[in-house]
Amino acid sequence: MKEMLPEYLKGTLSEGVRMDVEVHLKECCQECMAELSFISEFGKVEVSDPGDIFWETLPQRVRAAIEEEKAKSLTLRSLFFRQLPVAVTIAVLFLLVFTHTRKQETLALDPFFNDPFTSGVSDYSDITEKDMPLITERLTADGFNIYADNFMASSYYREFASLSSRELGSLYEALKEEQKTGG
Amino acid sequence: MQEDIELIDRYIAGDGEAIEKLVMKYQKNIYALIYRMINDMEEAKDLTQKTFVRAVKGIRGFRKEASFKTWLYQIAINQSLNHIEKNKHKEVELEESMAGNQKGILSAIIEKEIKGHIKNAIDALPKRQQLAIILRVYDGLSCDETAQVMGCSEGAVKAHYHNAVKRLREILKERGYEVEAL
Repeated sequence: MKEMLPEYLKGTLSEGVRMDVEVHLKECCQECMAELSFISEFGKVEVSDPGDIFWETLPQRVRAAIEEEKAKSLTLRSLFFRQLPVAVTIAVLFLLVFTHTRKQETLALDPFFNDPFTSGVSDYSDITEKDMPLITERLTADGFNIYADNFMASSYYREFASLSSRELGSLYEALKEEQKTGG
Repeated sequence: MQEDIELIDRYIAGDGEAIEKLVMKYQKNIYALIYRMINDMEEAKDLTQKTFVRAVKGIRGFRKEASFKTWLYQIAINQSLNHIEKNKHKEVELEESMAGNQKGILSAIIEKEIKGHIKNAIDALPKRQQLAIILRVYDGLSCDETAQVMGCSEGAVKAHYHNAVKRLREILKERGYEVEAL
């Protein structure tokens, strides 16, 4: 019953429950009477009234504040969406110009350089064994540590790969005769 | 509750007047709740407006199974607690200056006034107990509604409420003020 006293005091109870509380109080439950009397004292604490002007204008002020915020966010959003296509166009143009100038720069730097953007597969078919010392010399001069023997040896790989199994067999026999096996 | 939901739907559909009606319906409750928590009229006025603006801004996130009133109360309480937290140092300064003036005759008379005693006693309660008293006694919320607003169980609300009443009696007795029926 005690739990219902604040609502009883405030008058927010339903008719039936309110009647029950009243009957209980009339039965002189001292504990509930004391609690009711105590909490009814709280009503003496007043809330400073901000005045009629405040109550009358608050709904409009809230509405105005919401509409103002809505307008602000709309302006920001529209500004963003208006600028977006321009920004994308600028970015694409910048990317195109950047890649083009970069390509020009790399070509200008070294005519031997095979730009992977322009040729996906490197073609070394025009390089003969005579060119090897020249390339080695150039790479060594550029600071690359190339072992000429290994590099030269690797130039035979293509030739071995092109041999048929029969040719490889006879090559093996010939090498065996010269006792040059292994490796 | 149904009326509130209809007004919310009207606002979402573009009727700005619906919001004014919602504000009109709850403005006094929200102001009183905030005022009781922060004890400053100007700040309470400002926070009342902010509470409604915040509630309307987030209205699309409001789940209609809950009561709009309890949702609004939650926002008001959060705003008030944030305000109290921000102004903690100011309160200390104010309390110190009040303590310094306590010897004055005028403040001594004010201190003896009944409402001053009760108000001070409520202010001295822990925040959860204070909230339970404000929501139950001043706003007449049921245990269930208070539990929803405070985000705890009904049992916890009952405990906070009874502890608050008990503590208030003690504080008022200590300060030499006793309700006749006690």
